[in-house]
Amino acid sequence: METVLQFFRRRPEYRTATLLSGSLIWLVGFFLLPLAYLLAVSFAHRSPYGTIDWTLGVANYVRAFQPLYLEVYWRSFWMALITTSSCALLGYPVAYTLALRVSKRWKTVLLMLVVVPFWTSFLIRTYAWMVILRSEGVINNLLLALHVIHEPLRLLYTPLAVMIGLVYGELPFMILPLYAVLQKFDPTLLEAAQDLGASRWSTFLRVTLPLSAPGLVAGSILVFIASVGAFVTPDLLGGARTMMVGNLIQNQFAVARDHPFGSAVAFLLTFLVLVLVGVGLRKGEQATQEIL
Amino acid sequence: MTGKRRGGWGLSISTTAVYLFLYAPIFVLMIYSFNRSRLSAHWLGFTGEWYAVLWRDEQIFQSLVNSLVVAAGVTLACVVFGTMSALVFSRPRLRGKALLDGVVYLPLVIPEIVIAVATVIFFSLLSLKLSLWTIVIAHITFCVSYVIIVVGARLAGMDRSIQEAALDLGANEWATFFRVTLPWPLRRFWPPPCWFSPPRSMTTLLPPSSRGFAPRPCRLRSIRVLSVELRRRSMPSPPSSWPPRFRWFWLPRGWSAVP
Repeated sequence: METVLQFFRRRPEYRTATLLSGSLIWLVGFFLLPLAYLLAVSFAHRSPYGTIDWTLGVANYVRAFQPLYLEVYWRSFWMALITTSSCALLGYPVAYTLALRVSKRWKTVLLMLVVVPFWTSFLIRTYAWMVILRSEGVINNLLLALHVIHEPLRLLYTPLAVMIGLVYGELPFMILPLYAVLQKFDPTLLEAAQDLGASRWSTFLRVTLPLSAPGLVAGSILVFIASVGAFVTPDLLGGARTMMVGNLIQNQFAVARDHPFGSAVAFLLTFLVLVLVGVGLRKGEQATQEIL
Repeated sequence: MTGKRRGGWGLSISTTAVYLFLYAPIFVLMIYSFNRSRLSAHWLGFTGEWYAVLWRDEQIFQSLVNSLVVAAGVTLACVVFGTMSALVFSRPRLRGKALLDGVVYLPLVIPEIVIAVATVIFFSLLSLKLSLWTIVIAHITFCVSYVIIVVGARLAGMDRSIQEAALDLGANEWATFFRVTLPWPLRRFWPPPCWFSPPRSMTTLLPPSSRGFAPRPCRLRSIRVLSVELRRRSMPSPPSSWPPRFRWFWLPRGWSAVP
């Protein structure tokens, strides 16, 4: 042991390399290389037997912009956008309450309560929503029993169900960054604004909201990225008409066995996400780092 | 400031509603697990038979074992690899930090489905058969970045002169890591002080009342001052015989990088 330490003392750069080696070999070998291979495959073709034909070309990318697929991207974009804004609308009051309205002891408890549901498996929570939303499910049974409706509503396998599932899954990723920013917010600013004659709403719009913008940006990026690429939730809660880009990619690999085309779509999605992160993360950088 | 109300009832109501939304599916699932009906559609009466079925089901038991094996393997590998790298990432000055950061943050940013399909076709290129092992390999890629970021942030917030002090007082790097650096982030969660007692050479310099206690900043303040005075080490620099191309690899010893 002592000789090893001696060696590393003489050669600190080897120590750095050794410390980094484990995770870097892993990340390069099983993450960057696969991504590079995915990029390469996206320029190849599908042979008639479903294998990869290495005649290179951009045909997959041209095909990815056909109206049929544009509709899928458009739907994913809208779903993600609505999910993100719903998360912001639902998450903001919670983050605000946690950060500014409750005592310290309750703060810890309530913050834990936001996180705890996410210790159960994502799949189990999605199945729970299926039980709630299906036509003989909890909501329909309740409404029928109360005579609000006379026929079961179609809730499951609709875009609404997908949206509920996405919001449910991503809500903490909005609440936690917002909480981190509001936590550092100086409450005397609120009193100052009100002393100066601002109404509650204008205090919120002109003081609280601008100061919590980094958290809002960080949370929105996290939620948007996760929901635009979602594939399990739309698969389980949505019907045939709610195909999102994640399902499109999954189908190309699992069903159609058109790996090159699937790779091209996957790369377009990655590109979009990286651009979004590049634009947005600068603003929310601080907040995101505090969460992590 | 506790109990002071900011905002009206609207805020309280919407917050409560969000909590109900978060817990509704979990409670529904709990309640329906006692439902007699097979299809969980209507409530046909209370029963515990599903738990008996669960207990007897070989397949479910096997998949639980699989999950635990994967989780244990992934956690072990990620904590070891991730903590090792976090020691480097938390250094105040690090050449090539931007590039390394990019590599580490990328798995968190790229959509899961993209990582999944890339990994699958890469495994088929290597003709690796999909198994529990490939699940473990893929998950380590997912998770090691989280460990590097979380542990790195904690270590970056740690006062380096405490590690310096340990080294100056004769603990080797190994002992410093296991007795000072590693217990540091745990100090709030790990009350039994004797578990991580500082090395003998350190306790002898501390006032008697603090002997055998875990290194805490307040207790170490005295030796910190001492160690700063005692420090005669100067920062190493890359040997000029190295070709410039390789010099970026030279990083100042993490422990001695104190302003």
